[in-house]
Amino acid sequence: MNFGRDDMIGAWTLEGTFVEDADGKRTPTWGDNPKGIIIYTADGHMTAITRRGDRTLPASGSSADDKAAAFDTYLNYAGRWSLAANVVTHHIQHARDPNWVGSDRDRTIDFQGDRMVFSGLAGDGKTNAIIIWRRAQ
Amino acid sequence: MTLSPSDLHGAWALDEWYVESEDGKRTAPFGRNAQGAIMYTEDGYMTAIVSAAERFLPADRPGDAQKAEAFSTYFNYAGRWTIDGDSVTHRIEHALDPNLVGVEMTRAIDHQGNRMIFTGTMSDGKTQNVIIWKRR
Repeated sequence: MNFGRDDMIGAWTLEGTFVEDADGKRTPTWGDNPKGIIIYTADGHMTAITRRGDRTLPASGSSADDKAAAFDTYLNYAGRWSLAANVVTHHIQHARDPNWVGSDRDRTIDFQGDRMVFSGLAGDGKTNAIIIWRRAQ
Repeated sequence: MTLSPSDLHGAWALDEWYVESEDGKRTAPFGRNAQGAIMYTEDGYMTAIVSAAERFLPADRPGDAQKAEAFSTYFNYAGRWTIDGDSVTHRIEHALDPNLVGVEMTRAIDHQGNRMIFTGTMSDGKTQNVIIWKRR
């Protein structure tokens, strides 16, 4: 489906996120109950959060291990965005992992009804990372 | 001043975050060069990020203590928002600190030109939390 910037603006909730290997085998990124949101603003900014659905942290006295686990089960970044044909680029200005700041992330988008499906090479450079977003209700 | 949703729509950059004690002493929890963004969409969602300026994490196999430090120098949540009078309420659905999920945060807003100033009382009931955002 042809789409433009206006089709992306607003909020989307995460429906699924997984990596798919060459044999079509799917491995969920954040377990069986992933949660998340992606936001595109009309004035050119975006942010994304994806996470496990079952995260916990002691409300007081949490240890370094507890915080590291909370850190490892949550992704977030924000920055400007641009669209060229069916590829969106996120220009990262803020990120949970400080190593991501200043980098660009490209995702190919396929619109399927009220779903927006991202695909792109995963960090290993081989498997395909798929993220399925649905219009926030 | 009564706020209108369109006063908030779009993206803002963090200008300053400090807490002020009863005797007027100000401290900046994430340092004077803290960075951040807040966004409000017309379809009712928002997100906020506040980050210390000097954060470091080894790109290869960081340890738990290093991850805990990265966790403690970054603040992020997202959810739905509404305004009532001169206050905005954020209903948190996702947060780096999972204890914030389900929490409602209400902030009084003072609009000053291209800046919006959030104020709220900290959990001690005395210290003021002040966050200043400016239009991107």
